[in-house]
Amino acid sequence: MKRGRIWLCAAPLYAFTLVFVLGPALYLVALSFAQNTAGTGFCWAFTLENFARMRDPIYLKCFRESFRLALSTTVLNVLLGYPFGYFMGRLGARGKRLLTFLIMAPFWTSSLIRLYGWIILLQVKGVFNRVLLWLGVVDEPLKILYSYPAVLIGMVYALLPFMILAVYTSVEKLDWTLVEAARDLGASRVKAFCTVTLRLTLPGLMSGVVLTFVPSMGLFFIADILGGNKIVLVGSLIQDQMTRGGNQPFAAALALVLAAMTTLMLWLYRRLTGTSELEGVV
Amino acid sequence: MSEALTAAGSAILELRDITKSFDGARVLRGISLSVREGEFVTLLGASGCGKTTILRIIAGLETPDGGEVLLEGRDVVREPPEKRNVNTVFQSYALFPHMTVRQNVAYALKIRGADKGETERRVRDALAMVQMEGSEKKTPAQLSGGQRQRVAIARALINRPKVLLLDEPLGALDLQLRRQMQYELKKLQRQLGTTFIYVTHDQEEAINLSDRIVVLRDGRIEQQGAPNEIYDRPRTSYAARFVGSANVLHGTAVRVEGGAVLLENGGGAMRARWDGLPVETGEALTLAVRGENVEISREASDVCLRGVVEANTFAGGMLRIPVRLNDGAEVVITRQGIHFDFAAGETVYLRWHADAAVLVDREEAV
Repeated sequence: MKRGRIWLCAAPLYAFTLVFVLGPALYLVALSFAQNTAGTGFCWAFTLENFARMRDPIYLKCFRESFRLALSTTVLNVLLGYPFGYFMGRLGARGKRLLTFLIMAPFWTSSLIRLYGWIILLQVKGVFNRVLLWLGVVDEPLKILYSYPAVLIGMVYALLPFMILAVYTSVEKLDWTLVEAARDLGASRVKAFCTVTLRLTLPGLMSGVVLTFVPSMGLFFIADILGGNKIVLVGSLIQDQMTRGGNQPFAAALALVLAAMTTLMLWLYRRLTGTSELEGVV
Repeated sequence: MSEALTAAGSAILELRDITKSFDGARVLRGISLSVREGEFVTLLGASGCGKTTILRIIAGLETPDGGEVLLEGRDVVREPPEKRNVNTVFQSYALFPHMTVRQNVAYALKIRGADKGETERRVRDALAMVQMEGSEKKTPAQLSGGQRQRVAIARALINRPKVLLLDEPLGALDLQLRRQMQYELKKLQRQLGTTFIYVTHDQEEAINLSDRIVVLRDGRIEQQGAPNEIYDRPRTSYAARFVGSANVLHGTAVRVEGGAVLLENGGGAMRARWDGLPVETGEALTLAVRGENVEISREASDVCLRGVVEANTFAGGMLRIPVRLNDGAEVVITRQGIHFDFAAGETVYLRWHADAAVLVDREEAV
């Protein structure tokens, strides 16, 4: 009786999940095996052609580029985000509040608008170049905008907060007596950091890695806006095939492979850290 | 030089006028202390008296604002913790959660790059010493509180430190386990001959374990001495209350007669052993007397205090009988056993032998 009522309350949620999450996912899988027809349509005839097509060097390059960008973004985020999160975790309560505010504040503005901000900063006659010229670091303005570095800067910028907050949460939870115990037992600052601090904040760092790597495989609009069509990532490819290219089954197949790759990353994360929970942000 | 000093039983550790403040609050106000090799010294005091800060300064985890820390005659104030031949058993044990028992105990050796065979042997010895053989592969989370305690001790002793610092190591254990660990700690300390500096707020622990007790109060040393010395001859009312929960009573001096001082207060008259210092008639004096030394009767005598029995409670194998005196002060009488002839509300007379009461809070003798 009581159990029945609980089920009744939960039913809308299940129905919603079924219709709007599981349904589209199944549709995506089915679509990836469907046959594209000339024009904009497709027909439900089983084929592996959509997957076979990905072996084309153009598309392989696209995957490679996406992977490379995601990897560089993640590495840079680790290098910038870990120290930041670490020192943030060691600040007093007021410093922590202030920094959390500063990290969260940009989210009040649309990410697209913020990207256009980067265009203003990075363009040939932009702030960045003017400062460099004024300092005499360069003789003529750098063409950063619409290049790989610009995309990388945009990606790191967009995802760094997630890395910082993930590291910060695990540093904040760290029992500093353990670091003192390591020092007491003869470890120098550096050794104590490597054997205790780093090891115990690794779950935070790893969840930061997942939180930056996985989205950066799909953040196509950053590459589109700051890369000026020169860098085509899987995300842009899917979007392109879906709309302009009009090949929905191929788009579905690409999306499926991308999803498989990120799932593989998550699986690796679980194997490496022995945990299934993402610490911090989620 | 060290040869001659060691022969004379010199100090292995010496603190000279250590001061320390945190955010403007003075935690240590000039601590000077000298510890002999192999001595078991307990820093006893209520929370906030600065006892843990003293340990942390000796370990190098805190830098004093002023003063010197001499380890084997050398000032180590500027040296980082890893350079000091001192190890700590932390209050929370601070075992590394990501390492096994074996890895925890081996940590100090591994950091120094000791060879495998030697590490193996010494880890085995250290674990045997605390009766934790067979738990090498367990993680700290799989151990009970008492077992963690043992592993923490093994880990701290593996480097064979000159001085072992213990910060309320038994605080988290239940009473029975605490008694057993007290006994084992003392035995271990005798066996190894290592100098132990032990921090606690538990007077019973301090009395059971120590060669010397240092009573701390508000960042100063209130009194130090062998346990029986502090127990029998507390110098201040604080030390008297803290070590052995003595009754502290105030009165005015009447006269000195036959090695005893006669005092008077609103409750009647009482005696205390005369400490040889001048006593003037009418001078305000304070004495300390232990509950077990107070005699109680229904008959008045010429030197006694009058009061009313308030209740009697039984705790830890002891009867505690609070008696409210006529002037409002309270005397707690303690007795072994559970039988007591006086009922709550009864009027009684208290007295004690003059030698059982000590004058406290006297001006420092010259």
